[in-house]
Amino acid sequence: MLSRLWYLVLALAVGAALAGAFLNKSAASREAEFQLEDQLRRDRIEAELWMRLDARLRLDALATIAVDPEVRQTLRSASGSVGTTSIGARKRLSQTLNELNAKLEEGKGELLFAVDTEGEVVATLDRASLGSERLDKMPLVRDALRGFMRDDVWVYNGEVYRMAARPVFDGGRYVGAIIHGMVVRDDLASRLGAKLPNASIVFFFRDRVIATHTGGATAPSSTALKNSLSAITSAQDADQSVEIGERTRAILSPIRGGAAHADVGYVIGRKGSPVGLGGLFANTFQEDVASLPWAIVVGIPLVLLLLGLFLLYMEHDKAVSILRKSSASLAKNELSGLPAGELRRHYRNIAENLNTALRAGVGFKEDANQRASVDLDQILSATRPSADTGYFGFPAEAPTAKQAAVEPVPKPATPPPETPNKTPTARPDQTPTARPERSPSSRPQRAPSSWPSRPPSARHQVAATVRHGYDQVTPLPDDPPTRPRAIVDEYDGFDDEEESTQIKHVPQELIEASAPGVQGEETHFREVFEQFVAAQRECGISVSGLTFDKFVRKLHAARDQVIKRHKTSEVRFTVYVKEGRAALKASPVKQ
Amino acid sequence: MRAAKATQTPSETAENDFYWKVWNGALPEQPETGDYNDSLAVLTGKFTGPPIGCDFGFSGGGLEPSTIAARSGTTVSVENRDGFTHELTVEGLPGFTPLESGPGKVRAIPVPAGGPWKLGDRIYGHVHGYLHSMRELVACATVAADGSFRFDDVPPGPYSLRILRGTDQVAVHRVTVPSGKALQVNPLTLKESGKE
Repeated sequence: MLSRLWYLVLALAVGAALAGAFLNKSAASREAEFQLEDQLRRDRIEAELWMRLDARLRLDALATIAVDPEVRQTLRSASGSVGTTSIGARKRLSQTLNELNAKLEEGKGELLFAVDTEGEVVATLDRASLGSERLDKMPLVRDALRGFMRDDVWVYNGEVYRMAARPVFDGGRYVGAIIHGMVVRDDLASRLGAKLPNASIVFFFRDRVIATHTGGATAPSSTALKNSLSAITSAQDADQSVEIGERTRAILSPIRGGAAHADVGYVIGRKGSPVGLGGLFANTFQEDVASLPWAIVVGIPLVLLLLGLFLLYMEHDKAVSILRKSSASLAKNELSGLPAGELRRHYRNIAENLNTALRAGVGFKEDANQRASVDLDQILSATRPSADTGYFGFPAEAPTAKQAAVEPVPKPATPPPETPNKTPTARPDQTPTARPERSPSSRPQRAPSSWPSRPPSARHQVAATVRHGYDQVTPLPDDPPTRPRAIVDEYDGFDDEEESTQIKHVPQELIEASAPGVQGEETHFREVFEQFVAAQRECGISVSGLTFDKFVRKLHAARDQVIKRHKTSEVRFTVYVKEGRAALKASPVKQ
Repeated sequence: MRAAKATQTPSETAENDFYWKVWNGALPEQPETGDYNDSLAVLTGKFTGPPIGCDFGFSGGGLEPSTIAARSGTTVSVENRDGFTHELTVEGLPGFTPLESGPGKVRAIPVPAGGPWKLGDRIYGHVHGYLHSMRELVACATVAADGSFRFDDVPPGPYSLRILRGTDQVAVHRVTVPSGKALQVNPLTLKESGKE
């Protein structure tokens, strides 16, 4: 039972391992998703930091323009007198702005305004647009005119610009401001993307993509981000990333500037790593493995394994070994039965059942229909103190093969016609090939002349047949049609190959007592006992120690088995001599 | 006209509009001067001709003035005088669709009775204003930075001089314009407006 518990433990362990693996995968997927979301949030923070730094660099770069003497002088002359700056001065300033802008190199702007203190544009990069243009209501310009350096993002005629402005002062007073703008293009996205490996970035203005960067093979495509823009921008919580594909998420960030009002922003997208059944273990570090308590991890399963094997041996292997050895000994006739006492539980039951079967002489089922009687040799031999001799004096290997061929015969309603009496004689040409060789010394020689010397008067009292030859046994013509006689008749011819001997010394009172019922059966048993004892004595075998009670117990056991096997209610026993010993045959009586 | 000048609007001070807004390190920053761009002076009275001087537009990146008025049942024009595109919105006004208006373009707003309606710009968040619908609107005048305003070509007759700021009417004064000569009114004291 305990060893079976081990199978349960093993099944549970396997189930737990599988469940753990799948749970691990689910947990790892969730963990990977959390990590991806967290990574995207960090990406957004990093992007904001980078753009903050970029804005500062642009502001600082503008200093070269703000301190330019011509810029300061022109703005000083323009300030305080709207529209008074000459066209020539404006053109010269525009030229100067172009030159200064070119020197900014990477920070070169697409927009560059020089505005006076009223917010009027005095000069710009585009000479053609020189006219009366004011920017005084733009917060960036207002702050710059008040003395602040500030950045912003504008939507200016359909383009998105990163703006920077710084004040221009001359002679200890503010004279205007320089407004600088760089259009948002792919180069900005690429520069930002360089800071965010394996991430894709898309800048958008409403539903229009204005700049893209794809972070590589492991990053989601910019097309995927474009296609998911509406889903991303309509997300309820802008702080949370949005799933836009398998293991792919994107996070939205509005642009920092006035253009955010015009739905300008950017999206960062990332693709998570695939998660297998290994799950969380994929990220297990070597140090984690090294820090495992190996004594426990290996020791406990090993101890459990040994315990399981020990229990398996104690409960099964040991019993199987005993059965194997004892069955081998049984086959060699070294044992009379299986050692049930050494076995436990089911093995003990098996051994006991087999022993019972051995005692009852049970054979194969397919032979059962051909067997009319049960050889009590086998049933009774199990109780013998030794393999060679016993109460009945026949060996354990007593022949049964021929008896197995005997068919049960229906009990006739009327006594069968009597047949001429025959004197039983031994068949000289009998060759017991189906039986093992018996040692001649174990079988006392029987004098054939002893049979004719029986008193003829006892012949009519025959109740059982003692067979020791192949001749058919029939009662004498003057035998009364008693019940035992009927049984004998039923089996006429069954043992054609057996030699038969009739015992005719049964007292009349025994025959009279062989009526149906318990009393009749008891009488029959006693009759059989006496016949058996007589047969043994005739064979020269001692019957000391054989009591009627013991004998009857065996007959009861044999009777029960025959009744069970042949579904009959009555069994008759016959004594016969076989190979110099008395033997018994049980025959079912059909109703 | 005596009144507190407009202060910065919330959109101008929003911290999300910039990464940097720092002092230049040389000269102290200038205080916010403010102006009366959020105020509008109007005359109302019995006059059936088209409103005088009620032309508005975008200039310098915002509405000038930010408070505008129109006679009920007529349309008001808002011209884009900037060098860049605006997209005017009128919050709550049925039948008005925001559209991009490039430089020099005009948007006409049909003005039913009711209001006032909030004005905005879908491109520039700092743009804001209010549109008032007035049944007997006669003339409009913007208020200069020094608080002065002027109505030209107004027919003689009795009128109500009203000062609008944001959603509110912050001053009202009955005047009678004489025939053939100018009328100068004494400075007006403005009420504190509830909204801007």
